[in-house]
Amino acid sequence: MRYSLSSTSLSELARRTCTSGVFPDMGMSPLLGRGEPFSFQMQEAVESGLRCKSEFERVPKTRATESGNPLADRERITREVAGRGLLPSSSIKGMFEGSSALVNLKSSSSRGGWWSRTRIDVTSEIEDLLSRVQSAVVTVPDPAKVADYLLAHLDMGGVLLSACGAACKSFGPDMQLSLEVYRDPEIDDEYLTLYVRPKKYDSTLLDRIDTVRAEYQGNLADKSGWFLVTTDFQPPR
Amino acid sequence: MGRKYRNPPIIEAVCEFRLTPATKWDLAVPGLVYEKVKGDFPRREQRSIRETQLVEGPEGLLQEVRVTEAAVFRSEKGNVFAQVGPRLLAVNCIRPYVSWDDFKPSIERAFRALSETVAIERFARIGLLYVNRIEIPGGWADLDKYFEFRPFLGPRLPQHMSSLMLGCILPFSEEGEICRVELTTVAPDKPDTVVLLLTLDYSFVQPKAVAPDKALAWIETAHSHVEDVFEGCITDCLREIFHEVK
Repeated sequence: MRYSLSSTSLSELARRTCTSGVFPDMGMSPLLGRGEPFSFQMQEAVESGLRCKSEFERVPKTRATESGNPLADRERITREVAGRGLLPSSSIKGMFEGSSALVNLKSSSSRGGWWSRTRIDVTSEIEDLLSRVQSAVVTVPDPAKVADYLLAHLDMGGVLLSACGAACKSFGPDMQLSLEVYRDPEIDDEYLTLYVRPKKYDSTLLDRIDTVRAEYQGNLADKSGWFLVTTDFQPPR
Repeated sequence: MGRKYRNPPIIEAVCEFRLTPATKWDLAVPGLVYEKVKGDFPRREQRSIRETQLVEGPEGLLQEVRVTEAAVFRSEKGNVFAQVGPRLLAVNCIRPYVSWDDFKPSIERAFRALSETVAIERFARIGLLYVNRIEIPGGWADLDKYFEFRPFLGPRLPQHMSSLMLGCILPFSEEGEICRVELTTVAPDKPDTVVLLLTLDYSFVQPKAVAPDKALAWIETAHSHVEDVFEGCITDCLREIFHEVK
């Protein structure tokens, strides 16, 4: 594998993800030691609160630093990053050393940084939604079908999340919860269905399903699609 | 003219116009835009848009998540739609994406409808985004074989990845246009397939850089850059999977 960065390029970036809340040493010196100004953006706690990411990005030499004083900017960045426990201050220092670069901490929105994002595309939002649903102990045997349904009914995401959340809370991990698209064989109709399949059926199941339905049904009134929690009395698959 | 594929990987294309905060806007705007585009986008829906932004507050860097409601106007077929939210117009095309020549007129019509409804002075952002879903058959994929844009793993690291998330911002002009390129793995729908999303997001860095009457021309140029970046990211082996039409 070959991957080289042009010394004339203005922009280069490294991203790392960790699950522990502590960054590994980034080993960025070779990338940053070219004497060009670069900017630094940092953000932690992406949604799950578990992921930490960092962005290092070169900017043109003409771009001014935030305070006009590179040393002050450097100290401030070091304080901020180290203060959050994301990166040891020695690592931050290591990244700055060997480079005469000016350090520029900017608000990310001014350059459309990685973390200043609006989910204007719907496909990645649905990918996210499905992975959140799946992480909540719900199985999705045919994700493509569910994704197609959600693409056709963009307003259903919120209902789906809240209903799956309520179902998970009510039924727990002992029962299989399977999210599928039900297609009516007789008329042209389809809707999302969350099948509850316990290992052993008992007389309380239907009442519990009714309780979960009551939690989300009010939110379906103005939606373009439909969602149903039910059981097909089948064993878990 | 870019290359043509019988089995193109594009699952979504989005053209986004974000107006500056100074632009006058009120709750009637989406309805007024709808009146002008309902011939092309007759079906109305509503959608929540989640916006994540990094802001610098007195206590340091903070993540701000805002949710705004947008009106969604869909075409009869449903795969092309315009989203109109506060100071925002986005035109999306989901599968099947036929071609730029098919998609561009929808962008033009929606943008003209917005221009006739709101006095646009400048843009905070114009973006052209393409999401490509690349399915490679087999239990694992040799990235070197399929991608010219791929992560590098040093010789002392394990050479197999179970998932990846790679991003780069490529500068495109002195005026500060950039293309954000991302490659990430996603869960496959079927067994023995490796699925990656290659996302290309072309935009300008300096807000207010593009005048309203130049916006559509800018989009055309952006599209040609996106096409170049896409072709630059992949190899002929991947083109074979897409079935290039020669």
